Amino acid sequence: MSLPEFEHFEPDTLVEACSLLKKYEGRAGVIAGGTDLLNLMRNRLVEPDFLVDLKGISELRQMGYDETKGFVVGSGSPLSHLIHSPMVREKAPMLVEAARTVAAPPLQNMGTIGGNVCLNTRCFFYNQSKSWRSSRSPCFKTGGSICHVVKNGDRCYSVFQADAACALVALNARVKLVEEGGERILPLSQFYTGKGENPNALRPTEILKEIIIPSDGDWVGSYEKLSLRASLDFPQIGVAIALRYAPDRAIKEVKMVVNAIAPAPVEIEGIPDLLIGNRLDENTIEKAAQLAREASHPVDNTGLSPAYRRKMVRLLVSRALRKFL
Amino acid sequence: MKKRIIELNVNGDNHELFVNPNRTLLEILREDLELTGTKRGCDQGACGTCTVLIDGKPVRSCLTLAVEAQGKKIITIEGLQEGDTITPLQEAFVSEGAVQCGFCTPGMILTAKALLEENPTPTKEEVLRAISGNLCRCTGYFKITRAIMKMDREAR
Repeated sequence: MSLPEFEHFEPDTLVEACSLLKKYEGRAGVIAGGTDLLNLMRNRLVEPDFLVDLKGISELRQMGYDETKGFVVGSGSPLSHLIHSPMVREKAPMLVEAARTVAAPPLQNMGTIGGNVCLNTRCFFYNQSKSWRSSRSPCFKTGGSICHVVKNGDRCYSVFQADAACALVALNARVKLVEEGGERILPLSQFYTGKGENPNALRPTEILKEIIIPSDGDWVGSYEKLSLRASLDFPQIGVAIALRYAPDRAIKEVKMVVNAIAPAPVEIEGIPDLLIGNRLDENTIEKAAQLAREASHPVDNTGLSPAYRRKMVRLLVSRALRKFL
Repeated sequence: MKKRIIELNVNGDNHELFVNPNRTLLEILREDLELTGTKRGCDQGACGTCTVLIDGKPVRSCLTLAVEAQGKKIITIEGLQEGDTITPLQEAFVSEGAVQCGFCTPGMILTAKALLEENPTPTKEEVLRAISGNLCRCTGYFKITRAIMKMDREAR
């Protein structure tokens, strides 16, 4: 299927890119790896008149570590750079673990971490060709007022399925968004709106510049993914857990995020109350897994049934936690 | 939409082309340059038959705009051949029977070439991981893996 028509710009600097987005506000989109965008464009789900290519902007590919700020990753870094970077392996091994599960190595050479963070939500009724979709009335995500997945649903139930982004939420990452004449920093958990129609807070004139991972202490992490095949697939469930121990090996802080059950990565709120102050053993792991299962409410919009995916939340949480034993 | 003049370096040759920005590298390779060794499979980045090497790394040509590939070294399956001789890796695919219908073969060989250049003695797991983005529906991965591992033995 051919791509829709557009004009292509190749700015060298971020300032230039921001001014192009401002000039063509609402009609321009950015392209970095293109691995997701071009498919959305083929399906006529996104049809920008102007495409601003970010690949020539070297400041978006920088990676650095700073004792006070933490670990800063430019949004244009391809996933393969993160996976093979000794610095990321040392400072945020869970990010490497999650990024390695995205698609397959050739796509990791193209797709960027910024693209993963900004990945659009997906749905069986949305990610289809224009002619396929034309046989049904438009849903919330395509500008209509019904949901084909949840009968009488009053909003969009599309699902967020980016692996690396889920790990970043568990790591308390923040994102720096820039536009002409301004910038703002948001915690990644607030960057995601939870609304399927509009899953993130990025404005049409903004560019995600960098991702900041705090380095306050010795966090350890673990990511587990369920997918229909081992590569080239989006998660049906993803579980990211970050935790740190007190000197006596009791858990001092913990954050658990479950992916692919809602339009945003979902933090399981009862987990810190349950685990902090305790040591991990079979009993606490089972309780945490049960709690995560009860807090997960997937709907029928991916390849596996919601009941099965919910069951698998429990299994994946216990697998992820067992890695710390 | 304005057509643009772009210059692509494919298999060591420079080509000046007049193209629309919405055309993919795959379309240009197959339709304009008539390098049909690069296959069009799913056309959405899933199957890996359109794999080419850009600056030595395997990428999907169906998800690469031709305008984005300017100034880079593009290698297609045609670029491996020297005159009438094929490379030892291609010979290994033939001798191990790793080619059945042949549709996935160009992508498999280019992905394997990139792997072997980075890591001349990969383990079986490393080979399987490297080709995990290339789907084969008839030969089976056993013989393909064996052909790539044969190169590994020769390197030792």
